[in-house]
Parts: sequence; C-alpha cells; structure tokens
Amino acid sequence: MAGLWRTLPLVYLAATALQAAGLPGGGQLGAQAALVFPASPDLRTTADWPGLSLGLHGTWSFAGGHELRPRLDVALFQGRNQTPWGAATPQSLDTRVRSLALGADYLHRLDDRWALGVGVQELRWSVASTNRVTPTPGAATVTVSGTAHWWRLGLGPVLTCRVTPRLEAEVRYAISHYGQENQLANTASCALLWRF
Amino acid sequence: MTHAAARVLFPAAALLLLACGGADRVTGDRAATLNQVMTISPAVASVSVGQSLQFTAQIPWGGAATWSVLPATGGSFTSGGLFTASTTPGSYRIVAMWNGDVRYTALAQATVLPPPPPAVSRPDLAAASGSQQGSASGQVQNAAVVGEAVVATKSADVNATEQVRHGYDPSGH
Repeated sequence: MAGLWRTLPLVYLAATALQAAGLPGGGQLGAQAALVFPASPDLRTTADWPGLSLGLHGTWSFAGGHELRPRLDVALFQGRNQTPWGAATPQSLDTRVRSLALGADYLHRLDDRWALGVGVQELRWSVASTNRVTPTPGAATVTVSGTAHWWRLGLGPVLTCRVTPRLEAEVRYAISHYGQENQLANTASCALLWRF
Repeated sequence: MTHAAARVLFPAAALLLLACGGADRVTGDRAATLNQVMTISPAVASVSVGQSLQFTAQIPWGGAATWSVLPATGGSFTSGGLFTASTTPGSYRIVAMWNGDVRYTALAQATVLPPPPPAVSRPDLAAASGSQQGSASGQVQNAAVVGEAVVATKSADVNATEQVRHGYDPSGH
C-alpha cells in the first residue's frame, strides 16, 4: 500500500504533463480511484475486501454517443489469512492480492449523464503469500514466502454517471481468472473518475 | 434520470450489491484444496541414520519445491529433494512447498531408524565381500547378507553381462 501512495505524485505529474501536451484526437485525460470487491469465492480465498484501485484513463468521444476509454488500473486488496489444514496440522497462509489492469472501455451515452458499456482488460494478477506450516502442534514451523503472477483477460459491463463536467461515477463488474488452477477472479468496483 | 438509464442502473446496482455482500464468505474447506494438489513421493518412508533418501514432489505444473524437515534435527535436504538423515533417530515430518506458488503445500512422514547392531565376526564363516571385479557391465549386484556363509560364483552370458550368484557350496569350491 505504501508503494501505491508513493507513486501517486508521479502519476499526477505524468498525467498533467500529458494533458498539457494534449491528447491526440481531442481526447481528455483523467484519473480514477475505486473501491474493489472480490466477487467470486475463489478470489475471496486470498483477497479480502474492500480493495483500493487507482489509475489513469483517456476518453475519446465520437459522434452518436460512442466513447472509447483506454485505462490503466492498479488494485490492491486487503490481505487474508487462511488455516487450510485446521487444528490437526496447524498452517497459517497469509495472502495479499494485487492486480494491474491495462485495457479499454467502450461506452454508449444514453443521455447527458448516463453511459453503459463494456470493459476489456488484460490483468496481471499477483498473489504474495507467506505459508507457515507447523506439522506437529507446538513444534517448529516452516515459513516460506513468495509471489506468483499470472496474466489473464478481464471482461465485464460498465455503467457511468456524469456528476459534473469533470467528475464521473462508475460501477463495473469484471469477470477474470487467476492462479495456476485458473480460478474465477471476478471483481465489482465503485469508482470516481476525475477529468483533468 | 431517464427511463432507459433507470432500466440499466437498477440491475447493475443489484449485481454490485450481490457481488459485495450477498454471497457467502469463503470457508477453510475450500482453501484446503491447495494442500491436495501437490503430493510427496514416498508419502511414508524410513531411513537409517546418516543415510540418504530421495523425495519427489508431484506437482501438476512441474517446477521445483522448497523442502524442509521438522524438527530440523531430523536431517537436511538438498534443493533437489535428497534427504540425508541426521544421527538422531525419530519420527519427522517432511514439508514441500511449490516454488511457483508457495500456497501449494504437501506433507510426508519420515522415520529415522537407529543404526543396525554391528555384525558378529565368526572365523568359520566366510563373509561375502562383494568385491567382485571385472564386470563387463560395470554393475555387480551382491545380495548376500553380512555374516551368512556363502560362496560366490560367477558366470558370463552371451551378452557379456556378468552375473554373480550366491549360495552354499558343500564341496567347498
């Protein structure tokens, strides 16, 4: 989490510099922050909620109410602890899940405020784990830590509401997978998007 | 809000609520599947003090594991899973965690046996020394038991593979 906060000023500086340079085709640059919720049991084994997501996006508007919104999101979920073997063989498994999503939303403006669309992302899931096993209760413990990564596709609906000309609220649902066993990693999120 | 917007907003809000709080929280049972994917072979093993034994982690996706023995006084592991027993007999647990994702864990049991009692030397018995030489294949198998009266005879087959047979020869040859 500390790393996320440290990168915020850099992201802001990069965004304002890009905005000053002007996006091609009349695009507008913005940033977003979201609360993210693991929405599938397989993801909830390793991630607790709510998670926090931050990112950048650009928005290009076209005739007929069509919009294209490339975006980058970094999400960090709350850590989770499991005791898979129970009391017979004490084991403590701490996990923390992160995701990096690079993709784009296609939105269709329903009116001046509301837009509905679909988002497609390529997600890099990361699970940092610390596995502590105590095979014999009360005896010594084995502790091994490591981080595993997987790239997976994400897909889901997006609904946005323009609150002010610069501020937009968004809810989205993303269907994805993660892990070596390709478990479901669906997420739901509520976001605020700020247009620079 | 227009009627069209309301038609999509409410299902979306219901979907979000369901995702956030409507489903059951995960139980430990589901998490325990992480410990059923990987296994160790052999699952139960015995080894004499100071001797080595190769353990193998059966990992569906390949790759290496981190090996541990608990308590640590039981012996030591190489990164390849070769276990060398210490000089402390006892029962020990073997733990393997997959390096690709350390959430995957497997357990095995190892018993370190005390050293066998020293063999009694009797002059009227010829102990098989197993010191046969000149093997065409380089592999001579000696199945004699220490202290047993045996005579070793050799024969060579047409494939030039040397075989050693052990047995009692009453003629003394």
